[in-house]
Amino acid sequence: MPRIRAIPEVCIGCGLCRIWCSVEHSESKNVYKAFRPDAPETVSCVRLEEAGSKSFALQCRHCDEPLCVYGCITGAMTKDAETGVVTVDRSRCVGCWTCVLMCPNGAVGLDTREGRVALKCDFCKERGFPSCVEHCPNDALVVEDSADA
Amino acid sequence: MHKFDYLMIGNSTAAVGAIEAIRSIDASASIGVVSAETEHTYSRPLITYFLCGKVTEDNVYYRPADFYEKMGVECMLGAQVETVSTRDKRVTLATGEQIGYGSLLLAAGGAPIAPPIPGIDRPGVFFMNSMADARRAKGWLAHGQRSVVIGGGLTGLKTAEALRQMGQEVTVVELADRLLAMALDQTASEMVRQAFVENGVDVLTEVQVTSFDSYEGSNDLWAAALNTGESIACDSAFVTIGIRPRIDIVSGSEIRTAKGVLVDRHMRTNIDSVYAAGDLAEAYDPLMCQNRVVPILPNAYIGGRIAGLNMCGREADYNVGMSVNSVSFFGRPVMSAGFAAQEEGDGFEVIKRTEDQNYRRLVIRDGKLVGMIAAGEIERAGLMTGIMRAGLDVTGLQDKLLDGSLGLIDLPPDVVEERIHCSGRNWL
Repeated sequence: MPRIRAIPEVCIGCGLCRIWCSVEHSESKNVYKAFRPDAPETVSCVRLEEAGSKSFALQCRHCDEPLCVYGCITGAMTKDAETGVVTVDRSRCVGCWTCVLMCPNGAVGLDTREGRVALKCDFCKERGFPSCVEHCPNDALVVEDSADA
Repeated sequence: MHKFDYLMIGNSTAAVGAIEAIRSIDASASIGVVSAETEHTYSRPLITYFLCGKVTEDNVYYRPADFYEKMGVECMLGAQVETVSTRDKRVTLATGEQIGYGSLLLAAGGAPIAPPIPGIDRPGVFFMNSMADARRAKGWLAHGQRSVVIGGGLTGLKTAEALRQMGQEVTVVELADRLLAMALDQTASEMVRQAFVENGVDVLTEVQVTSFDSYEGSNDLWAAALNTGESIACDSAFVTIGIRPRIDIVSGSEIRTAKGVLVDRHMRTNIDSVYAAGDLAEAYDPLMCQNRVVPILPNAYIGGRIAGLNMCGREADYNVGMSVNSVSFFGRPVMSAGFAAQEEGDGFEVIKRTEDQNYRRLVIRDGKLVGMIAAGEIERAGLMTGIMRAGLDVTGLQDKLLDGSLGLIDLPPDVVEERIHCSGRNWL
């Protein structure tokens, strides 16, 4: 199963991964329009982890044993048996944040734009290929087949 | 006699966890489900959301309507288990019907505790433990105005919130000195009380209901009498003081029980072919280093999953049995895990931080995080439970843990490496 992998050694911490994730998950999906003052609030499913000169991008790991899915009280969080991608059904999420508490990497966020639902990497399922990876200028994010999936 | 390779007693989270685990390994084995409830599998924590209409009936269901069909599971709903005979490997239903099994999962959950309060069986007094309870209450509340909720635990408070959002006048009566006494310390508990009070809910602590009274000439609930001598006028009351594991389904069998059905790290009982998970199981809590009943949904699913894997012969250990709670009241989130409310001393160190509506409390023992509370700001709280589950030393990380600035990158390099370089550590 394909997974996004970060390569901290070459990450320059530019944060473009966050920007492009926001664009992909915006209404317009357009980098110029998404951040205009009159555009709806944007969110990003990518976190930029920084400590001193070290950095890397962190998205949901789409775990083999996804504690967020197991802990979900509604059944809104599911792992696709074929692709292995973990996604949240926004219409069924009640914002109890059990997934936020269960994720050992702190990779599930809070989307408080409308209603209050879990926010996480969906592997750019609409787009087909993760936008953060495609736009990383230094190849510090790659998609590869995970060995243990 | 009907016989299944795998038989589940119970139709809820733990059973679903086991079924999904079994089907990920074995597509053809026969699976049966026996459940006293007549509903399709639903999310128990959502019944208060259903009560107030925040979640529709369709969305209360924990899995799609065709789940059992797709999983190839034969469901016997509305069937009460009378006895379990481990020697013959069969269960007997109240109807006298017998069902055989290859291996058995006990996942019948817990029954609401009914305190011996006079008048508890009056029309208008409800439990809040099942969809049937919620349906009954919903009908009744259409003509009600004033509610009393007995018990300030998770279920009681979510019920009180739902009732308030339905426009009811609500009083919560709690025996302990604070709300959510099991999961929260004084400070966090006070924040929760504030949320309720600000939203118009009366909260009484260290108070008991002594009787449910009716009006002359009627049997219906009219008031709840308190041990203070006062009486609260009400037309509905909800008894939510906790659950008792349904261990009665194995009474008379050789299956060992304490508070719940005792299981080992494989979720196996003392009988080889019998497993237990969910609210009726007393399973190992690695943080407390003892078997405990931890009646929360995540542990029910994971326990069920571990049982299912082992039932199929794939060895897996239950090592995520610590207590975790995440809940919001009137939009204000509060979380806790492990030794959350533990007082200082006895080798426990407690550090806290309060800022506006945000509160964090960490409990540390031997340099390791063993308990946490977060209220208000809860972003990335999972890093803390991840640290607790992995048993990492948090010396030097305390400030970041407290102010919420901790990142994965702050953890030891080998942990970071492992977390980002694979598709997710196998947590089970």
